[in-house]
Amino acid sequence: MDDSLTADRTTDSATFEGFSGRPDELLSLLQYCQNQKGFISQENVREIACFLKVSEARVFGVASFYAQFRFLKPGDHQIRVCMGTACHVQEGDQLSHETQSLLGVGLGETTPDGRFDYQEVACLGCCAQASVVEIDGKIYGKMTREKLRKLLEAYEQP
Amino acid sequence: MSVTISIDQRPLTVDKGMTILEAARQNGIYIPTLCDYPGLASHGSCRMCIVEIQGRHTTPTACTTPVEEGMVVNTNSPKVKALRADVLQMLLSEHPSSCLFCPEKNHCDDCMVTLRKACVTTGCRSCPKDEQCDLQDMVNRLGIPQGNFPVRYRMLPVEKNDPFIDRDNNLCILCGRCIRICESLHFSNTLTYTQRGTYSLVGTAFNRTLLEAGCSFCGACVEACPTGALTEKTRKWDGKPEKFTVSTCPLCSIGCQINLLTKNDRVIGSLPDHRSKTNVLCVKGRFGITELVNHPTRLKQPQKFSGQHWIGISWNVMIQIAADKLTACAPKKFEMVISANCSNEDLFVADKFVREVMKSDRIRSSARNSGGILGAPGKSFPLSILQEASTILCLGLDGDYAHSVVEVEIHRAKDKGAKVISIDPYAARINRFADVWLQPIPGKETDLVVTLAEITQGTSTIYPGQIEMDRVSQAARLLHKSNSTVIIIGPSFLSSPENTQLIETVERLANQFSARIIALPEQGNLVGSLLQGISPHKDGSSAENLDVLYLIGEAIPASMPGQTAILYQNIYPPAADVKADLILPITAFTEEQGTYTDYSGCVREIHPAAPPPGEALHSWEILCRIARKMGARGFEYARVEEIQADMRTDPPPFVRPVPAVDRKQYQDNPLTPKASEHSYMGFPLTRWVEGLRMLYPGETE
Amino acid sequence: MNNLDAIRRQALLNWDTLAQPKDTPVIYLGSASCGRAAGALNVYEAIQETLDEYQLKARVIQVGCIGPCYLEPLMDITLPGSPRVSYANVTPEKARKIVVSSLVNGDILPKLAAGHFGSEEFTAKTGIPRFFDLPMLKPQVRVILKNCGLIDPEDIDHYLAQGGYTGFQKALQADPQSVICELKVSGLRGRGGAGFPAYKKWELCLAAAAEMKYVVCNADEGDPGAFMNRALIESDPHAVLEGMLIGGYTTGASQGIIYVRAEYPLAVARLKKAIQQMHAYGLLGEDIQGSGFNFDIQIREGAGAFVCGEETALIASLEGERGMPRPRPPYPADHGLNGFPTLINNTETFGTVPSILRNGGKWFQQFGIPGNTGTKTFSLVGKVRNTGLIEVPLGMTLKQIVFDIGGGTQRPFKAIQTGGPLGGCLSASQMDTAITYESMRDQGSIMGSGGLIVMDESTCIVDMARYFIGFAEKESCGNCTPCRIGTRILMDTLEKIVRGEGEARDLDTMRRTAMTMTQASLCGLGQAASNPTSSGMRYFLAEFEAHIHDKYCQAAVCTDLFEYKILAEKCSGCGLCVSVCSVNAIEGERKKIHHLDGSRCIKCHSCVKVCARHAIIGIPNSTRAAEWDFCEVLS
Repeated sequence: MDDSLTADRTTDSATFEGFSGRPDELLSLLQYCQNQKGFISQENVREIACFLKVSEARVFGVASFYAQFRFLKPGDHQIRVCMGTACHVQEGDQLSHETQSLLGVGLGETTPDGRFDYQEVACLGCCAQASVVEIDGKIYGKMTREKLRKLLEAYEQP
Repeated sequence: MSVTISIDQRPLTVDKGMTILEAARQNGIYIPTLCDYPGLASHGSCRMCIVEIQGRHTTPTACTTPVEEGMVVNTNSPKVKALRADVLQMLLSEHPSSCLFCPEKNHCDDCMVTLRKACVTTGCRSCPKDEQCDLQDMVNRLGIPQGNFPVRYRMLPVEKNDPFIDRDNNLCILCGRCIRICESLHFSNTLTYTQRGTYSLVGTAFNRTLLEAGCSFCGACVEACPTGALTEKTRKWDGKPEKFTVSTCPLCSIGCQINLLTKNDRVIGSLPDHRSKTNVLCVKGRFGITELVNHPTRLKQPQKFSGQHWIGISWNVMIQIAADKLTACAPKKFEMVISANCSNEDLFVADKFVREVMKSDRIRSSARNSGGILGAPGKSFPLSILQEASTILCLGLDGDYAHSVVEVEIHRAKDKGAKVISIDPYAARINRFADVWLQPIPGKETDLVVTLAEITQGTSTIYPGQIEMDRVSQAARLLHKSNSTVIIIGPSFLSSPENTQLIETVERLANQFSARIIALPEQGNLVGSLLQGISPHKDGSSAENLDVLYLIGEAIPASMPGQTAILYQNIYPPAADVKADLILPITAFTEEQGTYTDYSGCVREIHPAAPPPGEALHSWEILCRIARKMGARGFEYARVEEIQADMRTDPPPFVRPVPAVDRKQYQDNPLTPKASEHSYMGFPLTRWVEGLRMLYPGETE
Repeated sequence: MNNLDAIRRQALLNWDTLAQPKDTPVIYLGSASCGRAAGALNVYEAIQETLDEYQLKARVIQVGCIGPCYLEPLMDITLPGSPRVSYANVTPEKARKIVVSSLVNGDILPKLAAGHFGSEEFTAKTGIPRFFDLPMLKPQVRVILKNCGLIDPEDIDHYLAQGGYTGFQKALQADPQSVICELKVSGLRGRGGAGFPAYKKWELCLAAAAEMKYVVCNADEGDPGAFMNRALIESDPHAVLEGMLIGGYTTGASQGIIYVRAEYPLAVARLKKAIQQMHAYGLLGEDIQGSGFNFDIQIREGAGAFVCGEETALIASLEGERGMPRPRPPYPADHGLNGFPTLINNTETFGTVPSILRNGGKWFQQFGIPGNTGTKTFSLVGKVRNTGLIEVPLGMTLKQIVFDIGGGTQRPFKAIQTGGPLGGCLSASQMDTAITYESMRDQGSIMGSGGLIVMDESTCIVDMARYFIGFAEKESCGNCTPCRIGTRILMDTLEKIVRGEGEARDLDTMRRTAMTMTQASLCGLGQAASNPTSSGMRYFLAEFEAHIHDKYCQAAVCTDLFEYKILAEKCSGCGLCVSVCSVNAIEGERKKIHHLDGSRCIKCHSCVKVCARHAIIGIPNSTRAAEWDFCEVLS
C-alpha cells in the first residue's frame, strides 16, 4: 500500500557545495558551472535559479552579459587569439583570419569534429609579447602566421 | 528638510531627497522622459531628461540627480535641446519610422492613398501603436522633421508564438520598463536584458516563448511598453480606444477594478485601474474579456424550440410563453439554478421571484460551497493583511495564471521578511519561492493538511513510507515561530471533495496560531450569492420530479429527463446535445450596472461599457416582466438603483452561515451543471478565449 | 606586533643569505605571464634538467616581471661572491650553456650578460652594465615596482625583508585621521585613470556611518595594451594586499575583495597563496596583531566585461548582476556594495599606499610635479624598440618616454595612444606634453590606467579608430542610448570609410555622434569611447580625408584602399618576397626587379616585413578607383 502523501520530486533544487545561496553568489556559481564542463547548460541555469530562488531569466540575463560564459559545448582545444591594441598593431587581425581559415570556423564556432573552437579575447595582458595566442590556457607570444600553422599542426596530431 | 533650487530661472523650495525630475513635475515643469514610469525606480538609461546644471560639465539626467541647496538647473538651454534631439535621433536611427516622418501624414485622413491587403483603404497604419506611442509623441513634441543619423534596421525576428502577446524587438527602444515592471511586480522576472552593447535585447532565458519561460500573462509589460514592441494580440489593430469605463472583473472573487476600453461601442480590452489601487490583473481579466463578451455566437434574440429548429420570437411572445409555463408549474416541481457570476441585483430579483412568484424555495447556485468560511462575518480577511504577516500558509494557490494579484502580494510580503509555506500538488511558480513547499499527490491534499495540523499539535506519529516528513516538520516549526500567521486558501482546495474536513482542519490550525484566513472561491459573486441565501444544494431535488428548470447563467446539465421544460437564460448558446425549450439572451457584465460582493465581503460596482448585443436584456429585467405578466406585485423596477434600494430594506431571509455540503450528495445530483474552475456563465473560459487554451490545455470541454 | 618584527628579522637574515649566498648559487627566472609568453617555462625545464644532469646544487626561484619585457625570458644568476647577473632573451639552449658555464666553470660569460645588480666596481671589472643603468631603466624611478622581478612573489618573507608591512604597522600605531593626512600630503591621485585624490575617497568612506564597510581593489584591468596591474600582482602581490589592509583599517572596513579579471589566472593563483600566507602570519582574520581590527580578503574573478572596470559596474558585478554602471550620486564611498560604504581603488593605488605610509607623504612628493606627485607605471608597447613595464615620475614628457626609455621606433614615429581604448591618439607635435592628468585631458586623451601604444608610419589612424570603437561597441553595456547606439553609428561610419565608401558628411556625423556620447552618456565608457575617433580627426584629419575623398590609405593597412607596388629603384632582386608570398603574386628572377600582381595580392604584408630595402610600398588602388569614380558620379 502506498502510504506516501507527497510526490517524489524530481525537480528538487540542486545544492552547490561551498555556496550559501545568497544572490550575490550568482557570478561565482556561473563560473563554477562553466569550469566543470566548459560551458553553461540549460540545466545549469535551472539549477542555479532554483538554488538562489531567482528566475531563470535573471540567471540567463546575467550570464549572457559576460563574454566569459558560453552556452554551447566547447571543442577539445580552445584557441583564443588576443585582440588587444598591441596585438592589433602587431597584426593580430592577420592571426585571427589565419586561424579561422585554417580551421574552417568563424568566431565563437567549433570545428565540426569538435576538436577546436575559436574565440577572440580582448586582451591577455602580455602586450610586450604581441601578437599573442592562447591555446588551452598556454600562452604563446610573438606569434606569426607560420608559427601558428606549425603550432596547430602539433595539436592536430592525436 | 527642504532646499532651495532654481529650475529654468524659477526659484523653488523642494524636499531634500527629491530628484530634479520629481521637483520639476511637482511644480508643473515638463521634462521629457521615455524610460521613466510611475511606480518604478528611476533608470537613467534613455537620456531624454538630461539637463544642464551650473558648475557641472556633462549633462546628467534629471531622474537620477538629487537636488542640492543652491542648484541651478536649466532644462531647455540650446545645448540641452540639441543634445536631447540628437539622443532621440539616435533612437530613431534604429526604429522604423514611416509613422513618424511620412510627408503624406497630414493628408492621410482625406486621401487614405495606401491600399493594404484588405478590402478597405486603411491608410498606412503600419504600426499597431500609431497614435498611442510615446516615441511618436516625443518626436512631435521636440519637432523632429526627419532622421539624420545613418539608419540601421535591426532585422530582428518577430515573436508571435505566444498567446495574447506579440513581441517585435525591432520597435524596442530598450527603455527597460517591461523588465523593471516584471521584476518589481512579480519579483521573479520573465523578461530580462540579454547580451550587451549593440546586441542588447529584451528577451527571455534562452529565447524561449513567454509561455515556456513561465510568464503569467498579467500584461503589465504590454501596458508599460512605450512603443509597439509589446502588443496585445486581440486589440493590436483597433487603434486608440475612445472611452474608458471603470468596472469590476467578475471572473474570480478577488474583484479587481478594471478599466474597460471601448471603441465603436465595442469592448476592445481591459487594463487594471491604477487609481483604485489595482495595479495588476491576471490573464483572465487582462486579456480574456474581449473575446469573452464579443464572441460571435453570443445570443442576440429570444428563441423557442419548435421541435425541429429554433425560431426567433419577440420578447412579448417570449414573456407570454414563459409566464404560461411557470404559472402552470407547481412550486415543488420548479427549480432555478442561477450562476454565482450574476450580479447581486440579478440574484436578488431571482430570489424574490422564486419566493414570491413561484412560492418556492428551490433556488440554488452550482457553485461548490466552502463550508462556513465564506461570507461569515470575521471569517475572511482582505489581501492587505498579507503585508503584516510573518508567516503565510498557502493552500492550493494557483498563482501561475489566475490570482496574479495574490502572488504579487505574497512576494511583497516575502520581501519584507515573511516566510511562506505552500501546500500545492502542482509545480506552480509560487512553490519555487516558498520557504517550504509540501507537494501532496493529487487527491491527498486534505490528508497532508491534516498531517501538518497533527504535527503542529504534537499529536501525530510518523507513518512509515511517507516521505518528506522533515519538510512537514520544518513547516510546523515555522508556524510555531510565527507571531502573525495568515492562511490563504485557493479555489481548488476550497472545492475539493473533502473540503468539509479540510476547512475544519484549517480552522483548527487558525485557532491554534491565532491565524487569519483568506478564502478565495472561484466564482465572482459566490459570496454575494451566499449572503443572499442562495446555497449550492437543496435537499430532495430530483430530476424526475421537475416540470420546469430555469437556468440563469448556467450550462444545461448533462443528463436531463425528457419531460422537464428548460428555460435557458444565458449569454452563450447552449451546448448542442441537450435541448432547451426557450432561449433568453442576457447581458454580460460589461453591459450592466450593478454590484458584486468579493471574497472578503466588500461590495464592488460594475458599470456598463458597451450596449448589449441585439435584443439581449438584463436578467432582472426579464424576470420582472415575467413576474408582472404572471400578475405579481413588487416587480416594477425600472432601474438598478431601485433594486438596490429594496436590497437595503428587504431583510434577506437566509442570512446565516451556510452549512457544509457533502460533496458526494452533490455529485449524485444529475441536475448539477458542471462548473470548472475558470468559467463564466457556466462555460469554461477556454471555450471562448483562444489564448487560454494554451495556458489550460486540459480544460477545453 | 612583536611576532611580526621577529619574523621580519629572520626574513632579513634569510634574504641576506640569498643576496649574498655563501655556497649555494641562486638562479632567478622571470616567470610572470609575459615571461611565460616568451617561453620562460621551457627555460625553467631546461635549467632543472641541466642541474640534474650535472648534479649541481642551486636554488631556483621564479620571480615576477622586472620591466623590460622585450628582454624576456630573463634569467639571473648569483654566484657566491658575485652580485646577481642578468641574462636576456634566454632560450633553453642558452640557459643550459650559461648555467653550466657559471656553476661548473665559474665563468659567468660576461659577453652574454645584459646587466648586473652589484656595484660600479663590478661593471669596471666585467664590462657588464648595471641593470638599472640600462637606457630603458635609467630614467625610471621604481617605487611601486621596487620589488618586482627581484623577489619571489610566492614568499611573504621576501616581502617582509624589503620592509613589507611596516607601513601597516605604522598605520596601526597611528589613528585613521593621521593615515588620511599622510595620503593627503603625498598628493596620491587614483591610479585607475580618473585621478581623483585618493585621500578624499578614504575620508568620505571613513566618515560614512554603517554597520559594515568594504574595501574593493579594482584589478579588472580591461584596457587592451595595459598589463601594469597584472604584472604588479604577479610580481609583488603583498604590496597590493598591504594597501588594502591599510585601507580597511583606516576606513573601518571588515571585508576586502579583490576583483581580478578572469583572463589573469596566474595573478589569481599568486593572490590566493599570498592571502594564505597573510593568514598564517596573523595579518588577516580577527584581532590582527592584537589591534582589535578584523579584516579578511576575498578574491572574486571578473567574467569578461571591460565595463566592469568602472566602479559602479564592478559593484553591480559583485552583487551578482549584469555589470551595468549606475548613476552617481550616490557614490560608492557612501552607498556601495550591497548598500554599504565601499572604498574602491585601483590596484596600483593600493600598491603605492604601503610605501607612502612607510616613508611618509612628504617623501612621495619629491617625485613628480605639484598637483601630479609621485610615480606611475605605464605599459610601453607597440612599435617601440624597448617594450615593457616602466615606472616614471609624473610630469615626464612623452618624448622622453618613447625615445629615451623606449629607444624610439624603427620606422618613423607616427602616433602614440595613451590611456587605453578610451584615450586619444596623439601625434608627433604633442610629444612635448608632460604626462599629467590635466595635460592628457587637454590634449583630447586621458591618462587612463597607463597604456602607451606606440605607432609608426605603418599604422593607419583610421584603422586604429575603427579598432577602438569596435572594442567599445562590444564592451558597451548597452543600457544608455548614446553609448549603445553611438558606438554603433561610429563603427558603421568608420567601416564604411575603411571599405572605400566614405562620404563628405561622414566627418560631421562622427563629430555629432561623438559630442552626444561625450555629453549625454551615463558612465565614463560612453563619455570617452569616442576619444580615439575624435583625437584622430583632430590630429590626423588629413589621413581621414584621404580615406574619404581619395580612397587611399597611405599606411597600407586598409586593404581596400591601397595596392602594393614594388619600387624598381629600390628592389635588389633578392627573391625573399617571392618566397614568402603564399599566393604567388610576385614574380621575378634573382637580381632582376620583381613585379607584384595587384589582382592576386591578398595584402597579408608578409613581403613588406621581409624586404630589407623597404622597396614595397602601398599606392592608391587603381582597380577600384574607377569603381568609386563611377559611384561618385551617381551620387
